[in-house]
Amino acid sequence: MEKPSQSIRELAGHLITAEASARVSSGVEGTFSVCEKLRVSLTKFAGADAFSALMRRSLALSRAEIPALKSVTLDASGCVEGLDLIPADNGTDPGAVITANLLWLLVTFMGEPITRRLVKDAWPDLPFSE
Amino acid sequence: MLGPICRSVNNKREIRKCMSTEDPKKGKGRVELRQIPTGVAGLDEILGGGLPEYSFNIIAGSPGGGKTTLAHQIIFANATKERPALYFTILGEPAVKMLRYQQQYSFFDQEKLDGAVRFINLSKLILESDLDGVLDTIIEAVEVSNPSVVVVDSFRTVVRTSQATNSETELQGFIQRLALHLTSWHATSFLIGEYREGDLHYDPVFTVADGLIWLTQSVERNSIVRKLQIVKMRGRETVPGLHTFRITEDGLQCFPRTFGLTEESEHSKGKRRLSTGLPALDALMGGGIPEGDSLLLGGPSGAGKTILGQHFINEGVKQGEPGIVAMFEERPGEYIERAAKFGIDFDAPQKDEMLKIIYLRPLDLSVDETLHEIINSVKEIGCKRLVIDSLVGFELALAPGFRTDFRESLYRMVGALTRMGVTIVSTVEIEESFTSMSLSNFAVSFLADDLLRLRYVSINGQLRKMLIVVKMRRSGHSVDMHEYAITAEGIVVGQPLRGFRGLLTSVPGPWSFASDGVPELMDEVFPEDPDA
Repeated sequence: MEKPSQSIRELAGHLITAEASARVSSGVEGTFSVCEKLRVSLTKFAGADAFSALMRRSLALSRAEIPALKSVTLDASGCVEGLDLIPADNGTDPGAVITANLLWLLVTFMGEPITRRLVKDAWPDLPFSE
Repeated sequence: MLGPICRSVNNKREIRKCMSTEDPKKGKGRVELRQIPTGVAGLDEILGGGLPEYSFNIIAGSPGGGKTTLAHQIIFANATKERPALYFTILGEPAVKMLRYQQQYSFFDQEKLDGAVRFINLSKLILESDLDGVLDTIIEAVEVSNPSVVVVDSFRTVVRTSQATNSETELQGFIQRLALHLTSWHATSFLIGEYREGDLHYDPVFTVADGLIWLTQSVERNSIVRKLQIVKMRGRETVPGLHTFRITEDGLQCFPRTFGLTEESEHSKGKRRLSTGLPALDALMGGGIPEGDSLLLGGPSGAGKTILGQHFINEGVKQGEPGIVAMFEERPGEYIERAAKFGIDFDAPQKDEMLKIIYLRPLDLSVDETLHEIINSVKEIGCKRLVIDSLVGFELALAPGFRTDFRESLYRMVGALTRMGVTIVSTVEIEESFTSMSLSNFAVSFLADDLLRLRYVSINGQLRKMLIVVKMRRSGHSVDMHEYAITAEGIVVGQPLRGFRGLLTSVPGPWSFASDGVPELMDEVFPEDPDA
């Protein structure tokens, strides 16, 4: 099965870093923040169930990469719980992996332009190329 | 002022780079709808290439319609150990019985039962649990197995059971969540249900589904006719209409209305003339039958239609042009024997793959199915000449339901074959009338490029034979009515019948100015005619 491309992984990392630095907080909080923004953006047009389903799949895919994520769960709205207990895996940020898989799923199902629009909605000030 | 994300990112170019990974091959970054094979001959063509990957589909129809067999063909065509197929059974056909029967089909690969195809029974669960319980169990199994294909058989049972305790909104919510989860899991899924046409308007599952494949089976007089329709398939341009299918030991086999001939034809009509094997007749037609034409050969019983078709095929064999005879009345053995009486050998060309004789006589054929058989043979031997003997027999071999569409079906069939560069001679038996001359039992103008009519005429107390070229599309032809006879060498075309009026009524009389020299008796024209 295909996996997130390098550029999607990099974007996930950038978004988390950006969120973490904006809030002067950790990468974990950055992941929460990214997921929350994507949740709001995605729920607006696809519904809460869609976000939950995609997060569930994203977490499952991420567990295949980082087995320690087995202890991470999702709450009723599809947001991650327990991520703060997971250490980085050989320098890979688990939050970035989950986010990258979520973005990759969005690209897979909706295509790149719509995913870009969705991310742009969540981060209106982000300098996207059109 | 820059937003927080830009302030925090070291290099804004990185973000731009990440978000502009458009693949020019995909065209404007559109999501690529890949397709998976159905494993059913002809169905991928109807679906426009296959089933959209990750789609959520319904396979609906009446009992015995082939729904479960279709689902099995799909799972066996796609399941692997890495991406298995999950088959949930719910209060329908028990899995043990289903497996017992399904393994009779050739597609049933026993080895795939070792992990690639997995059956899970939810009957107890559906009786004891609510919709959420069913959903959780399905999702759990999906998450553990990571399947490529998921089938729920029968989903109608889930709906019926839930209707007793749940509202329609709850049911719709359940279906939507199921669809979401299965798609999120990259599974192409199929809900199987026994539905009637009226259910389409009321069942919420049809709204949620991406695809709807409807299978019908109807009894028409003594025949059973099976048809398949793609009522809906999001994101794909499918072939519209009802397509015939048959269930054989290989499972379902579909016969698309397009006959697999959707590409542009590389053949242009009439570039050269094909000899009928009778030079005198070729001359009347302006040099023979234009290549790629459809010629209708009409006449009463015993007029020599079959023999003329044999001349045409035999001449093709001599010219190195493989031929096919599609027969619906006479048996191949008799046909070959009859040709041999006129010195035509059809045994050797059959062995050399220059001739194929197709005998089709079940009484529940569809035109599409027949044409499928003919097209396969055309491709197999590189056929250039086809004789259909006869259209009346063909019509009789069809299931009654298809006879009503016979003209339309013939039109499609002739079009498909001539697009392949095949020149067709179709015989049609015409009941002789002695007051007028009918050209065919069928409306022919749309069907035939060329029309040759054989007819009996009564002259001097003898029943003699006459032929006339009625029509040659795009070319000139003789307007004379010629006498002909069936001799030991086959058909021999004689002189034009001049000096008579009312030949078309079959009971001509002499013109008052008739000149001497008009042959009055048959043996003056054809001294060797055995009928004379």
